[in-house]
Amino acid sequence: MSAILDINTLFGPYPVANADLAIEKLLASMQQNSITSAVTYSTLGVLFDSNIGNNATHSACRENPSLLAGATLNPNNYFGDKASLQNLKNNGFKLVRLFPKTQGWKATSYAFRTLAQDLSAVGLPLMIQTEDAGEMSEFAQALGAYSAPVIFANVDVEEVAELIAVLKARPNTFVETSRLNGVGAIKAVADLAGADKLLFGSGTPYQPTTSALKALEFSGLSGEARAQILGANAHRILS
Amino acid sequence: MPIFDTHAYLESYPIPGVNQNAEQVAQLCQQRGISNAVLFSQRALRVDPLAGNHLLKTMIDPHPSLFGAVVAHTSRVEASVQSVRDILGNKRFVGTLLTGANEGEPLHPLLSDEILLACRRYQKPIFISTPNAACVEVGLHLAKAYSMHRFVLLGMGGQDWQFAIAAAQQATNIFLETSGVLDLAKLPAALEVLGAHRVLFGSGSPYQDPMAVLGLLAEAGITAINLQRILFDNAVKLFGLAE
Repeated sequence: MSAILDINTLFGPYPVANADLAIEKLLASMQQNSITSAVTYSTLGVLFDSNIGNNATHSACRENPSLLAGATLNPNNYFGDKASLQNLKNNGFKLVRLFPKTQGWKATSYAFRTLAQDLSAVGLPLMIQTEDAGEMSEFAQALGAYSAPVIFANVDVEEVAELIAVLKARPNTFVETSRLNGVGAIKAVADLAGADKLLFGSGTPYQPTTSALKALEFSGLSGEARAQILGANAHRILS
Repeated sequence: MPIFDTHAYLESYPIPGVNQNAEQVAQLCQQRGISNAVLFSQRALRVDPLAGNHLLKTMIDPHPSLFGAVVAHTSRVEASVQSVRDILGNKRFVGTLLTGANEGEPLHPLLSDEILLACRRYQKPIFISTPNAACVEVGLHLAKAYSMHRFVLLGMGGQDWQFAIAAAQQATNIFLETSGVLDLAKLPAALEVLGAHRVLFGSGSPYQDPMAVLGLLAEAGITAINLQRILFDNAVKLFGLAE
């Protein structure tokens, strides 16, 4: 099997899970499931402070070469420091993750639009948590001028029709698979929007890697398409 | 190892060609190594308990591996009680799903009396959808008030699975079904507090692929004997299918 890249992993304290998702758990899960590399972020950056979280992520990724750094930012705490955004790229961060529901902001927020405009110059891919109907469309519209890849995370089968419409309308949009585990969901996206739009994600170690792998294995897609989703697509986007 | 999926739906799924009829459900089960499944009618849940439950009965009839549960609405008591009387005596129907006006919102216990009394003579479990703590609390209330019934909390409280475990600890007539969030911590916690005999495998298929929930079990560090209980034995015992 070719190299697997998991685009959606995390580590750190996570009160929702009532567990400390230690980096060791993430690494052990990757090893058990033959995951070659993973983009990860510290939960501290989402739930507490972006700078502290990004420092923790940077340290973890420096110590573990199989981990790729995902930065977290919060538009509610962004005051126009463009140099800090460029520093993320200079420090090896591969993408920027945004969590509107957890952090309490929306696609209509001017703070978000300002941050997106400033990030556009840096050219890092964005990965956005979307959970409610209509959210993806709002973000796709708000990010019309954003030329780097935009990856939607946490999308489930109830939003598949909207997802496919967005993926077809915006060439630079993609989706990760950690919540796309309804029967037929992955295949519908691949058939109607293209297998190149799907990136393997697991949500490990909060969620089991096995679940994400099995959902893809039983998706009904060809081995070639699955290999593309497991690694090639993400490698292309992050390179 | 045989697998009994205690939580699957018929009809009204966003993706065409999936679980729209019993043939498609049976095929999905076969592809994934699921030996038996309990189906809930989406038609009965969302629009018409009388028509939906009867259609489910007709659809599963030629498929001996498939079972059904009667859907009973607290907002459609008369039609629901009629469904219970018409169908619940059938051996292929293993329980009643009690639901309120809105999916995801807790049903009102005061409106459940007539339906639960109608179910009493059949001695089959009551399913309650529990996507959150508020729904778990109603389940616990009903389990305490109706100690003659056994209650299955579908979805195990969702993100609030700790509430579901606490409820099952307080009422020994509560069983937990494994679908809901794929949080790696929830099954080890449930087994530590309750043991394996009150946990049932269920997927919420097709909204969640059974393989995804089986992946959760695979990584939960469950012993082979407990896995067999959760995947099959507990369901057979609860639904009285061993006789």
